[in-house]
Amino acid sequence: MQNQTATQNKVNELTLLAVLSTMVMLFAAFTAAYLIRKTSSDWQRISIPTLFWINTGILLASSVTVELARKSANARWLNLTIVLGLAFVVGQLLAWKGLADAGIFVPSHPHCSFLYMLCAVHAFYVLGGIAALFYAIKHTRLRGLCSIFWHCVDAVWLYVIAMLTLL
Amino acid sequence: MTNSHEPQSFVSKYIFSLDHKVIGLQYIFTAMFMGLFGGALAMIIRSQLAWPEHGIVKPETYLSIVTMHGTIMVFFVVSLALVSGFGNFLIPLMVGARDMAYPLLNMLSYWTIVPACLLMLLSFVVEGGAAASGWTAYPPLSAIASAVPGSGMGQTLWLLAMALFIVSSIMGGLNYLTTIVNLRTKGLTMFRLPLAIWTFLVSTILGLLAFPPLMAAVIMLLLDRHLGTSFFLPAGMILGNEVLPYEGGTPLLFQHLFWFFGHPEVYIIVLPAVGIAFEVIATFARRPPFGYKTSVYAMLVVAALSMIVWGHHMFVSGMSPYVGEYFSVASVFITLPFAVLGLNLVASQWQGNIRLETPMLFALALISAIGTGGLGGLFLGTATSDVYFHDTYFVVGHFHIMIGMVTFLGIFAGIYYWFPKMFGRMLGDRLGKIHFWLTVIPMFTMFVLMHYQGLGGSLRRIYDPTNYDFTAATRTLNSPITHAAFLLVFAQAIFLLNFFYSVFKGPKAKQNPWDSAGLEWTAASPAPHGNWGEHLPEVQRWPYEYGDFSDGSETDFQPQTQPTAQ
Amino acid sequence: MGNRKKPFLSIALMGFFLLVMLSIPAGFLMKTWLPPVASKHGVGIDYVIHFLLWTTGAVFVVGHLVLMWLVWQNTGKGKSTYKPVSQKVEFIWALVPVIFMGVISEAGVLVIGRPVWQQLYGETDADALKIELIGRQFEWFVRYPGKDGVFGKTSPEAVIKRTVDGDNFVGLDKSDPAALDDIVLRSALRLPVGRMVSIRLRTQDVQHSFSVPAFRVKQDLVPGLTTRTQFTPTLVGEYEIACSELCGLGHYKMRGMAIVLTEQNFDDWLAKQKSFFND
Repeated sequence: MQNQTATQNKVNELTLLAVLSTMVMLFAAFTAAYLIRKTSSDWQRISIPTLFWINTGILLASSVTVELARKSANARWLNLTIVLGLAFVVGQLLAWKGLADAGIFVPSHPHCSFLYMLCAVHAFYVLGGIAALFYAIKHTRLRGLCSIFWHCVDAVWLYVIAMLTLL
Repeated sequence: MTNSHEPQSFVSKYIFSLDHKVIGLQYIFTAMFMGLFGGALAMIIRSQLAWPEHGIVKPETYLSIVTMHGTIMVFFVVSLALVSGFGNFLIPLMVGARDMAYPLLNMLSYWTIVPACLLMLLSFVVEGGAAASGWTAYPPLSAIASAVPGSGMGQTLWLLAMALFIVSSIMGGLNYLTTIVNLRTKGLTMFRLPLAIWTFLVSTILGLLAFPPLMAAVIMLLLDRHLGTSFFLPAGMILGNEVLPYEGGTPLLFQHLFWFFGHPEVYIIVLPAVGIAFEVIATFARRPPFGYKTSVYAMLVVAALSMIVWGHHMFVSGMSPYVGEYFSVASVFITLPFAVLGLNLVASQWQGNIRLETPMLFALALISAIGTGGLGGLFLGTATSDVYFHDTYFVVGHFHIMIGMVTFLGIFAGIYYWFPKMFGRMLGDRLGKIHFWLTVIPMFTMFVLMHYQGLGGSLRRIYDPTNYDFTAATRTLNSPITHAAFLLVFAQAIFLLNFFYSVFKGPKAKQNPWDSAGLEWTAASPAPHGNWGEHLPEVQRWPYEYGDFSDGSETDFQPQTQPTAQ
Repeated sequence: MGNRKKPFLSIALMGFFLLVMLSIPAGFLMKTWLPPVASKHGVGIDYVIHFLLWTTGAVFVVGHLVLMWLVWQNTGKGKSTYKPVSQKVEFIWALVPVIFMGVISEAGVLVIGRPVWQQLYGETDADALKIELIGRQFEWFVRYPGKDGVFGKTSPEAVIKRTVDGDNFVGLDKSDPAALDDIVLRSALRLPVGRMVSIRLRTQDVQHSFSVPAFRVKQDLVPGLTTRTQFTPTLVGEYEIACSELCGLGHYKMRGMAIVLTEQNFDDWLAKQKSFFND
């Protein structure tokens, strides 16, 4: 029984590594697309609205709470992380609405095409992470790995927003 | 981990099964089903080419057929059967596990592929017909609905189906990877794994790395098509008598993303076929594969190199010629490790005691096909000669031998070989041998003749070759190729009839009818739920212990579980 | 179990491998598939192709002979004579394909192929004839720059707008002085023999590809880019241009002609051409 748990842990760790690899390759491909697309004469960087930065803060806070959840016995911090994660996703949708209200739609500029697209793809991973956290409420063994996944999703967002602002 | 409770209802046993063996067979049956379509499409192509004066189909229909034939065969037949089908069936049996690491995820991966198949088939009947931009789906042709009829709803469904395929592949890959790495039974070190498992491992890792960039390309193409973005679409295109409003995108970006995936993809499907050949040859030559370790290293090198040579599909695409030079040097370098695998397959006959059972026939023909087709790759990887051969039938002949013939021979070798393990019966042998001859002779004929056509400059995706005078000599080959294709299809009909008859009425099989030393043969035939009884096997050696053991017994092999001498 | 006679199947299999081994090279040897080469660098490309045919052909034949011999020798023996070899021996044998294929493949690319590649993509002759080829679904247009040697401005809007008299095929901008002497033709381009031609390639819609098998030339036309190719025709004659990148339902009939004339005949012909706006 002990052995089974240890093996299952190794399995889950490798799975996490594999899932993270696919995430890295996906965003590496988007990065290559971004760098190539950037060289065209119609490239124009739009400024990132404030709400995206607020959402970034929410996501960072959720990384803190997920770390706390890892160490705590009850599910309180985990629940808070889930709430913050959902708030992030809602926040992203609101940020999109803000852009649309300002007349900036998906095809308006290539830069904002990437913005919309990368937000959407990333949000998909956030939702996946939230599902994993829900699962980890009951299966406390998995909290460690789920929190690592959560941190990586957070890191990808930081990467995305850095790319959109700096590159 | 895996629950050992036997499923009871019909639905949980055969529909939403969590058992890797059932799931593997579901994949194989689905591949057979899709193969009916892929094969029928091929016959239409061949008929049109042999008798273009009859106009069997319209030009735009022809392009949809060419596109869907390629897409269905590569992804929904070969990949489904080889990687998902055999991967699922064999991996736990060969590593001594009761099932995959995540049986539920495994079941979901199969049921994700089913809607993908349905979307592909549905695309034939929507307005404008199925996608018609080639299996390579290059924009702008694939991005703009007025560019070709199939670029309407058909292309959208194609893209959605591919997205589902990618998700399913990754879900499956997670299982294959973790089961091989972490669920090996006691005593089974990495270098005691069968070579087939090594090929599944390498294929899986390649898939995890290569599929995401294709997903990125699919997403961006969908956005270009439906939300007016310009990832791949530049300014100034005139279609439908208007200047399209796109700006700044580049079609070459799609090609880079597609081929970054596309080149590893061909090794994802070829390597497992090679792995199956090694297993079959070991059993029927009664000796271990020659160069087990060099084969492992060679396939790792092939896989690593396969990720950095994609540009050889783009030599004349407008890519920088300097970059092209690099890709050429790197691409032909793959010949080296691949030739090591070829040498090892050949040398595995040396000092053997060969039994020419049906699986062995397929495996031996596979070696010949690898040599024939693989050498043709040099003409395409060398940039200078590729200037002539790009987009000709030389390419078509080459990839059909490699991912049409080598892969199918691997699939057939595997089916004849592991049929007893799957169904507890033997697959009809007489018909099997007929199937063998009526498959390899037409296949070689067709795909070698295509090489000659390519050498004559004959181009691919051409609806009516009589339009060009320079194809006068090569056009005469179309009729023999088509006749060979009819024979090939007839042979597969024999195979399918034999297969389904044998599932129910074939001669009952012993547990280990081929006297193989592999671990999977220590389980009953057919393998039960949970694969082994109360105790999982413990491995003492590699799966190729053949020879003269001078221990008084008549047998010339020892199973993987046999304890070593004191 | 120890029958020395080879089973019939074994003989059939040998026959099959022999057929494969002999017929495939025979197909290459018995017929010249390559169209006669009509360009300077094309000779080099043919040389690469023939080098590869002979070297891979040799590997192909030897490989099959070895396979046949080993299978024949070891079938119907009744007993395995297998004796394990050391891993060291296996590694040394692995060097055989590595060295042979390494030499053949990289000799093809670097020694024989590279100089030809550089001819294709390298320096353009100072006196090269400059022309432009514009593709659209499903035909070719050729533009000569006229006496000023400069290609006038074009725009897709001008193509749509048409001219007073009819189609403005390549969208020439009449207000650009350099465009006034441009010559625009349909489907057929004429070239002088023995002089390099540098062709600009553009497309008005999707991807196409300019290929002339006789010249051993192929280059994609990419939307949003201007690609280039260059070659020197060496034989007077008429050669078909074929589109070699799937471009839609008329891809199969996107045919053109490249007509190579003597220098004199070419000059005479060019002198007689009217510019697009003087038509």
